[in-house]
Amino acid sequence: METTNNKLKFLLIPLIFTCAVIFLLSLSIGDVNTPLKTVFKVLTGNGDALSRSVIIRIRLPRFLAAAAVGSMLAIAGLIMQTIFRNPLVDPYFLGISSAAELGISVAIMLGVSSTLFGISIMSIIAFSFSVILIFGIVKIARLKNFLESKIAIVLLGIAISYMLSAVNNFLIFYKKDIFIKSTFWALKGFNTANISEFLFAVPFLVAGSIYILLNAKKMNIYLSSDLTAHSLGINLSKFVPLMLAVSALIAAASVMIAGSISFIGLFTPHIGRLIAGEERKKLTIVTLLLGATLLPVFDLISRTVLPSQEIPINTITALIGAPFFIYLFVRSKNAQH
Amino acid sequence: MHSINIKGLCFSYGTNNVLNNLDLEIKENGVYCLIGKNGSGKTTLLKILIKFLPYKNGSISINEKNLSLFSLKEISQTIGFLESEMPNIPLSIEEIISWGNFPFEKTDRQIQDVVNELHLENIKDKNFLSLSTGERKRVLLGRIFAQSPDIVLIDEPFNFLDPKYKIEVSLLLKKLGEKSIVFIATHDIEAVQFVSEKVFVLSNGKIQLEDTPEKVIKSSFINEAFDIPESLRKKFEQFYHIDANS
Repeated sequence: METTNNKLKFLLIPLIFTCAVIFLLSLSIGDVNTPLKTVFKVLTGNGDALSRSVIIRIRLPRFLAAAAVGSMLAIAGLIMQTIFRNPLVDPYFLGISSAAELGISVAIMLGVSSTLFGISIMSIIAFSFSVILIFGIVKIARLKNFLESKIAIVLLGIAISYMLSAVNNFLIFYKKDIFIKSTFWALKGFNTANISEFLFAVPFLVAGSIYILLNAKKMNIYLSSDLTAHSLGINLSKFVPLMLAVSALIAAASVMIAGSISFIGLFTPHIGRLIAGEERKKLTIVTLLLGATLLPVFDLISRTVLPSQEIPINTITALIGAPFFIYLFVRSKNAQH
Repeated sequence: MHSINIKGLCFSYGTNNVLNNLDLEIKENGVYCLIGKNGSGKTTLLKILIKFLPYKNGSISINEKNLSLFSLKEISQTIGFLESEMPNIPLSIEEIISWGNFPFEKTDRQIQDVVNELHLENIKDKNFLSLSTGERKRVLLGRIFAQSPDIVLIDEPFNFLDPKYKIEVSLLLKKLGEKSIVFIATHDIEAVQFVSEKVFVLSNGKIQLEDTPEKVIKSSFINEAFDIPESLRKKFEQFYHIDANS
């Protein structure tokens, strides 16, 4: 097992290094570029007041939120792809983002606009809607018919997404000014990111990651088949719904912070696979780091590519992510596996 | 000594009765084969024995303890199971063999022994998907060796194997049979004759005959078990080199 650990170290060093570089660039680059020397000064508690204000109050929370959401989407996607043994599912496909968007429309209709501990009540309502949906799905997923057929859960997720979108569309039709506000919220990215939102996300990220790492062996075994997993003592009627709930909760917390961001949850685990292979422990660690690196990169691009303007990050992740994803797969020999 | 004891077992999928008052008893270690045509209920019986499918009527005891009293964990510590379908596991051979330790929450203690015993040293770091079907089967059996359960249930172990691997797998099964009850569901009659000491013929939801492989194959029950019409009986005997008169 020593060789495996060495291999893991060998993988982690460049990843951590890249993440650190992106961290420094995120603090340095902006409407007003701050030299790296000043960034170091600010990080060590020195530096002028303006730089401190920009870096500590704006850019740092923004990087932290983007890194956290990137990791969250990446591992939520990894869990979904493992549980459905399907590389095409992403964290949102059980309807998490649709539920959150419906929550936002409802909040807008109710005229909610205040904040609670620095987090907007609108976001909290969105999160609550997602959580209600998760409980519903877990309850249904525990029914025997659904447990036996993963396709049935996939179809259930798609059906629920459509249904929630329909209700949402009806609300928008009924009260048209919801449209702009809710679209803005869904695409909000890290424009309004603050440290409270980051702190809200951390427990989900940390607890979720620990849970997955503790269950990595089970996930490996589960990859082979339901029958084999059962015969080795894995209780599927607990394992599958719990994993779904963990993934969905992490995804819901990420939606609350940044709205829905496409592609990260789908393709980060795939890039992780190309680097680390399929073994779940290694793959989880690499996927976490990749998510924390990639999303801040996309965020950096979204706020710097046009002068004094910000492109919705969702557009950037899809525009750059999709071709990059295709390129990786065409290039990689590992893609066959 | 290990044992399997089944009495009056019934099972149906909806209105389709698959097992109908089935009795079966195995009291000694060794390799035992369950034969029967496709759809006769062989796989169903194995799935019931690992509690993947629930049974309503009848009783099952494993090592003289009622199956219903076994927790899922105890099942996984007592019974090793291999399904008929070859899984597509994108992991290393060493990882897959280590699953044998999973039910016991042990570390890698036995893995190296198994790797040596099954001569997997050269391929242990390879990906399972890069192996041939025969090598894959050997690796999956390696996991069972690491698990070293009292009872081993294997569904169609000889599917898609070439002659060399059929013999290799048979020898591994015999080796497992020295320490465990190895119960195989198959319709590979040639392999049955080579590997097993006793054959159970499953037909119409019951064990219709149990005897040595030689006697079972010569008996007329084999026609019923595999639905072989009288017109094909001669060809069947020729195909499997059965001398019905000896």
